[in-house]
Amino acid sequence: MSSDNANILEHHDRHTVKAQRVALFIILVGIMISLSYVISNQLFKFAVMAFSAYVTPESEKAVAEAGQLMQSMTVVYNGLAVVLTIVLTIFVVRKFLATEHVNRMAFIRRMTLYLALTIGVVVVLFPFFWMLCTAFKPSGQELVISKTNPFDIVPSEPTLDNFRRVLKVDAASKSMASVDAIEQKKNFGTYFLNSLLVATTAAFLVTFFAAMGAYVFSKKQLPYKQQIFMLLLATMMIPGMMFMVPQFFMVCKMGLFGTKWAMFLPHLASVFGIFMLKQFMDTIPDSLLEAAQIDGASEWQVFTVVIVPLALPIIMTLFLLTFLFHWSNFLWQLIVTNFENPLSITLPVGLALFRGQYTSELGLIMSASCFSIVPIAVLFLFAQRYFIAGMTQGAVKE
Amino acid sequence: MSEKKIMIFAVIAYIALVFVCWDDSIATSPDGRTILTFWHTYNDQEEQVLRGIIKQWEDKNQSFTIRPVRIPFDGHKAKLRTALTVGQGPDMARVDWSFVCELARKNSVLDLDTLGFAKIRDQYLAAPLETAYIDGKYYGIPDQSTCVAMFYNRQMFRDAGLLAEDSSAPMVPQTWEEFIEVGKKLTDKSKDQYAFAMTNTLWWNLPFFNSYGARIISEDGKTCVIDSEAAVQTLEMMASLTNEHQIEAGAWRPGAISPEQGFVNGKYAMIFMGPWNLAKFANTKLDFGVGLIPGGSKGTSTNVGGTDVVIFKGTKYATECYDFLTFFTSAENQKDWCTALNQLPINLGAYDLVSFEDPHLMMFMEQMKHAGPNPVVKDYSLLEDLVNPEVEAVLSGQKTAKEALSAAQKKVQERLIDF
Repeated sequence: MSSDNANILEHHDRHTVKAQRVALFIILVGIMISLSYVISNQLFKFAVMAFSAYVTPESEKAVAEAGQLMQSMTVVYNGLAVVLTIVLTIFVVRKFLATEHVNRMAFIRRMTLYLALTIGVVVVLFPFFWMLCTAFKPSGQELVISKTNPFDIVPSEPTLDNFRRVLKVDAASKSMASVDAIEQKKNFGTYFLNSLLVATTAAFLVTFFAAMGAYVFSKKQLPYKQQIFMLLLATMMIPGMMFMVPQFFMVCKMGLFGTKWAMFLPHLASVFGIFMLKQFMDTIPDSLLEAAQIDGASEWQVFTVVIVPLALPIIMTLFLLTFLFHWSNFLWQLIVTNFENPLSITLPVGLALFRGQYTSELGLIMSASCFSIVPIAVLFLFAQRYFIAGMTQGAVKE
Repeated sequence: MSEKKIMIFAVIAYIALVFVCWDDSIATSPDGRTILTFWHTYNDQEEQVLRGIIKQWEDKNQSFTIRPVRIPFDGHKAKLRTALTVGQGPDMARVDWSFVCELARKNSVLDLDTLGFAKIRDQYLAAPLETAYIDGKYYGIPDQSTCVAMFYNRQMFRDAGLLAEDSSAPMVPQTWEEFIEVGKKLTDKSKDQYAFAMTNTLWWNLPFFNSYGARIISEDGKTCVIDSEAAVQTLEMMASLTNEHQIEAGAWRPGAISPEQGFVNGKYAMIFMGPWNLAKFANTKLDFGVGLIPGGSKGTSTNVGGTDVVIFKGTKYATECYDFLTFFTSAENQKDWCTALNQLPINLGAYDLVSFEDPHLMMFMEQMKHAGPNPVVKDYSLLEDLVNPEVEAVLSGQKTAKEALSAAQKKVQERLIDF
């Protein structure tokens, strides 16, 4: 009798656990459905919006026409979002049912993790999505928020005018470009390539010099090494603005005003870079260097074969930071730019041309920003595993 | 793609980039004419009209050519400061009105009276011209001027029963007392809807001060008079909008919805705004109107914004520069400029020639006639930095208007005028 009771209890227990799991799963599916619908709806709407803006030819009424076209395709993006959500739901539910009872808790845990990650991705990517959407808004509508749904940020009357004006392929710019060679070069493409060249050259040279400097400070014997290093660090305590006018004076005296050299030459010696690399190189055991020397490696070989590959993660980090710095260094580049020559204008300075005394052309700034984040995004994609490697390696000290 | 391939690809791309972009020489078409450089901060449309005017001037002056060079407005001060120190400055430039004083006191721009400016001075609007009047001399010519007026949301006025369904007449209150009365009807806090929103920077607050006849800096520029009785009265009235009457949204608080954004989204019924946003607001399909700023004890008034053109001492061709700039700002050319770009003229002669279809712009022309004087100091942004926190302390109820303004007066006098 007592064993029967225990059996029933156990059975009952198992039932409640099962019910709990199913309830949890249903809640998760509910969250997933709403998330999936909202996200896919916005993405499909964005695609439809971009398509409508693209196919509408440039004219006075283009905005309204594109709006109508979008309106007529409401069913398409809403329908696609519904279909996608249903397919996803069926997929997940079938997967859940196919999972054995014992493994269902693990399944639920994994699903929670994925949902949390999705929310994280949305939070991170939302500003970029907003930027893209604003780039398609006609002038004046940038700040208008949808009354029915404040989170619906895809414009309902899209236009490509901002992109056209930034890339100077709109009608007004074409007539300006016929004036002379200088006008022809005044476009976003020129600024973009200039910045790319300046930033990559600077980043490469800075990492190269900083790596050599850091190697000496970390591994070599040098009289008053510590004091010299402290002196170098002390210069970091002075705000960079203080150097700006003297540096500008020197650059002009060298006859470099308005050239690409002027953009990065004064920033090639990076104390911060030396400091960062030295801290990392301190963790590389001396015995490795000694082993290389015993094998007959020259100083240069020790540096390139042992030090650089080991310090690659941190070197990549420095490369990226320097690239970012020069990619967005407005004030210095503004000062050394020769505005009479558009070939010396870089991106941060070129972007500032869209801001007036009282008004900012938000649409233009956003569409230009869409292009300007591309190199940074690409660099991050390639360099991210070095970041992670750098973090874990730096954590272990001999 | 393997890592090695990516590296090789990157190197090749970089070398190609160097080949394409390193060279920055450009043909500048020297056809024997003397080049006068004019640094400006106009936008695309404005630059096009400017080029038209330059062409007309060049037809009359065959041996000269004017090269307009656009620099970003953000940073035009830093650019000019540094360029002038190494002698890379232009012949003439268009600068923010608040920058003329610094340039004049640092002895880098020409006194226009030496070129005969006294003869034609009267044709310019007084308030913008006064921004270039420093220590008894004129150092710049206004080339573009704006002011703010009161924008109001017609739909919100209609909803509050303040505007008849078919009427288009401006219903903006005439005095600040009326403004508060009307404001109470327009405010509905349950819907997060306010009658008014303001930012707290000195320039945006000048319409308040000017409507009470309160100056910031005395006429001779030697004393700060921001602690006057009229100024205290103004500030008390401003603070009462937010605190006592609660018709102002507190848009001056950090992180609040800005007046512009709140207005286009129908949260704020009235804001101060300049004519530069008329076209943009029209695109939002908002039903809005423009009226005069309510009057204080001295009637309606407003601030002055915009830019002045100056001639630098480094130029060898001051007469030609002066000739071009007066041609550029003459009544005839102002008429073309303003009609093409929907902007307010700065030349009184152009006032009779220009007529806008847009009633809002006509309202701005009316408002502009009542513009009060702006404070002219060597470092205008420092003036803002000194005054704004004190005003904010009053708005948020931490100080009384009298305490705050006498503190501000002391700071401005010490750090900006006597310094």
